[in-house]
Amino acid sequence: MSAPAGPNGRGLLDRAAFFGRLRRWAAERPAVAAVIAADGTALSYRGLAAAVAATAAHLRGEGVRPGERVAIPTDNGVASIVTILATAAVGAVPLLFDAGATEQERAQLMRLAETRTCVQPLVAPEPAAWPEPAAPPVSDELALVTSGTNGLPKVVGKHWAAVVDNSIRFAQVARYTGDDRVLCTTPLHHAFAFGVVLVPTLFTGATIVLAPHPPLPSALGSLLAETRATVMQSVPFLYAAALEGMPSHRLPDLRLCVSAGEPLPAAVKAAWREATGASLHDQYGATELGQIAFAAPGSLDDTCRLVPGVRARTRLDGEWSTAEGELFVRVPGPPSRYLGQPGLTEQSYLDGWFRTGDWGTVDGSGRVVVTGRVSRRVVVGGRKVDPAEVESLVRAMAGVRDCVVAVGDDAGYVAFVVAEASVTELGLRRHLAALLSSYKIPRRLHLVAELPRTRTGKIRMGPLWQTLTDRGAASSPPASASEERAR
Amino acid sequence: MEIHNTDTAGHRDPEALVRRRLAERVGDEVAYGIGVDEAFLMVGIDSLDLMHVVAQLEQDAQVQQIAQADLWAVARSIASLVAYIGGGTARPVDHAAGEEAR
Repeated sequence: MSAPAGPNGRGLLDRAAFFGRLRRWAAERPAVAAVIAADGTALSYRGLAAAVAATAAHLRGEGVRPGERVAIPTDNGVASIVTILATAAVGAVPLLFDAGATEQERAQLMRLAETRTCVQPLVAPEPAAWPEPAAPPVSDELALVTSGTNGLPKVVGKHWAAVVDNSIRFAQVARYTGDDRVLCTTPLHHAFAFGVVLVPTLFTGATIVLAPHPPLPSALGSLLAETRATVMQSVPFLYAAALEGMPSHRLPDLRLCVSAGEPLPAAVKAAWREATGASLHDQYGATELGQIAFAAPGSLDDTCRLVPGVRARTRLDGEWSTAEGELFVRVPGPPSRYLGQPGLTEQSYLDGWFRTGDWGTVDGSGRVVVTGRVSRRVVVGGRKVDPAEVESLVRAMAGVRDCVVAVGDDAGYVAFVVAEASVTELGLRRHLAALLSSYKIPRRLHLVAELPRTRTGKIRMGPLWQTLTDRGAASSPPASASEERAR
Repeated sequence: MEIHNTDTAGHRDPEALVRRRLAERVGDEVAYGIGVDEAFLMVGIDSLDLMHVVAQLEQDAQVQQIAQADLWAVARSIASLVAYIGGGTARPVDHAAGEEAR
């Protein structure tokens, strides 16, 4: 399969190039650790290549075929990495999703991806030769899951060439070297960890250090010190939480900390530098695109600039603009798409530019500033939540008449629910917990008499927030602005 | 859990302390209604809220040494949090069950 061309006509490095590099490290740097997990398991580059080959042979034996989509419940363990890579090595399409997803969530995304194949992460023990490249035409895709805005998750089909190219360019501006040890604190199945840790670290011949997910924040300082991590990848909320236990740690090895998922508060950035000596660098990305912009070390200022190869522009009132507007982005390589939702894919592109749903500015130097979000999607601790998905499941519960979820300045991510007297907050939570991952469930589900509406039927949030103030509910510790926001 | 050096700092009822701190994040009904061994996962309490609760309890009980880097190893239920802050000898905590959590 020929590599897709980039914007300058050169061929992009693709899945084959990625695996070529992995096998090169196995030959040239066999004893260097490729992956170290918090549970003590580790694989050298030689061990990783052998484990991928063995597991690929096992998957082939189990009937996995090139081009087939294979759902993998992913956690931050060595076996997850081996299984993802082995699936790709046989030419199949790894579909990464949260190992903690509910049965309903798993069934829904497998339906969208039109697959019945789900493989638990494993490391096959029987040695095997590296799999022969699949004969073309074979899909060069992988699939990641993110929240939607229409009640359905988005299963994002991405091309390896686009992912590898973007990841390598990010690694170049982040100055990754083979001596780096990159601590991953967010879920591997998210694009942030996949594009900032998994692909660029292995391509560079560096070492992935996997923190458990979710981590205990007070343990992160020790983990950084013990693993002598040189790069940390996390979200603003976790950096802030880890600071509580950080003052006693001296971290001379730590040189670069990457933050994404939500805006990075200046106070967290300053406190982190003070406590660790390492600088925190903001990154702006999207599941569909990868790393869009990065406040790279050594740049003129600490604002996010487009990662090389990425282009961005804004659109305002139906016209391309140079002013603040909705951000549209292009990355080299074939565009991503939404599996099972072709109409949504079509709506997401305009003349080849991807509609990010974010609001902001981009200037001639490539500086990108995100100022808001066009859609209702909510961000909770860096994780994206679709309000429509949550509201529809609450409304489906017996005794519930109406529901709206929202993020308040003081109250955080909450729901207002109109229901019969027999419905309780604890009962609602038990109902939702069987259907939704915990991070999608509002921190509080406030039972109210009605959802006040305007004449046009729009819910008036003001009186609902006032209800909380009147009840004194807002006296509970407010969620910080960096934790929960409507974007 | 044995390598914790914990001190409940005068809190004679660690379970009451745990429930109080949990109530500050998710409200009284959930914090006082959930069973002592009922997994937080079963009522959909988010890891982000539990991180706040653990951080507060670590200060309350002056937890000196962190045994594990996995949140679910210490914050699976009321009972496991009580054990974490040093009051857990009266109640069993199923460590393996943490692997089910998300």
